[in-house]
Amino acid sequence: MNTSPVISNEWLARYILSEDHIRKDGTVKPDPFIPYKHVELSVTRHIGLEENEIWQAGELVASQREDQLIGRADIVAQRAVDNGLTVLPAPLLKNHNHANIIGWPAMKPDQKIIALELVKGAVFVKR
Amino acid sequence: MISLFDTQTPGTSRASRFIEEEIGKTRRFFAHLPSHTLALDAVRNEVDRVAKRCKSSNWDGYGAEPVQPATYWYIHAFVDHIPPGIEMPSIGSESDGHMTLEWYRSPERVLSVSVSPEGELHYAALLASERRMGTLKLASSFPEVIYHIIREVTSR
Repeated sequence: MNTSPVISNEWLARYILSEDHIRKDGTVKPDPFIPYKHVELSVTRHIGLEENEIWQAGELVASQREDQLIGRADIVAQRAVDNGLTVLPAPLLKNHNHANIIGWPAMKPDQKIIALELVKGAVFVKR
Repeated sequence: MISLFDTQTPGTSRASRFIEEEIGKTRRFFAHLPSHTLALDAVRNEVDRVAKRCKSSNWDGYGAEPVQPATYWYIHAFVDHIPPGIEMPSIGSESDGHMTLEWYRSPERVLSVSVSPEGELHYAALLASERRMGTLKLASSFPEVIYHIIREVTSR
């Protein structure tokens, strides 16, 4: 279980199951970074994981839906902090590196602006 | 047969210049129509495809809400009002079950509009260093504020 505080230069992965979340130029839309419904956004910390282990966590997300994992959107934790958010470790039984991005505003347009800012620095990694 | 758009020797008065300008605008408007209809059909098909994919819960593997029939109806109503002469959006969906339309030029120049099952349009735009956002109620015409932001996003 990784409960160590998230440091600013850590990479975080948000897994993508829908091709509609990726633009034609390979950049990530803000859509998968909208935090509903718990007003928190689930991510997986890269720290301490090998590349295949990062993907294993993604396959777990895809298995919830019995769907294909398209890829992942990676962001640096600092970008969340710069937008007034906090990244908290929230390890799960099957994903010890799970974390939540919290501190989202309640209003949808405010969430959307932050999601647009987050994906400005996101890197899409195809599965 | 006299064509509405046949031009004769241009006049020089203010009135004739006005008429020429109006004819030009009308000509440009009608020139867009066939391609506009086809482009709208493509967007409608995209809406149908995304809505179908997101019609059941947890479509994103993170516990997403399904797209409601009302959301599907409202986004179609919105798409139907997209005026000729502007670029067509790409379609997406969010974990709260909203469907999205995106006009995109770059990560720094982008407009995203979410359509809710209540018929609300939540929009957010990045225009270089400027941010714009808000909520509108879907009306019987295309929202002017959205129209102008699309123009700003796609004009460069």
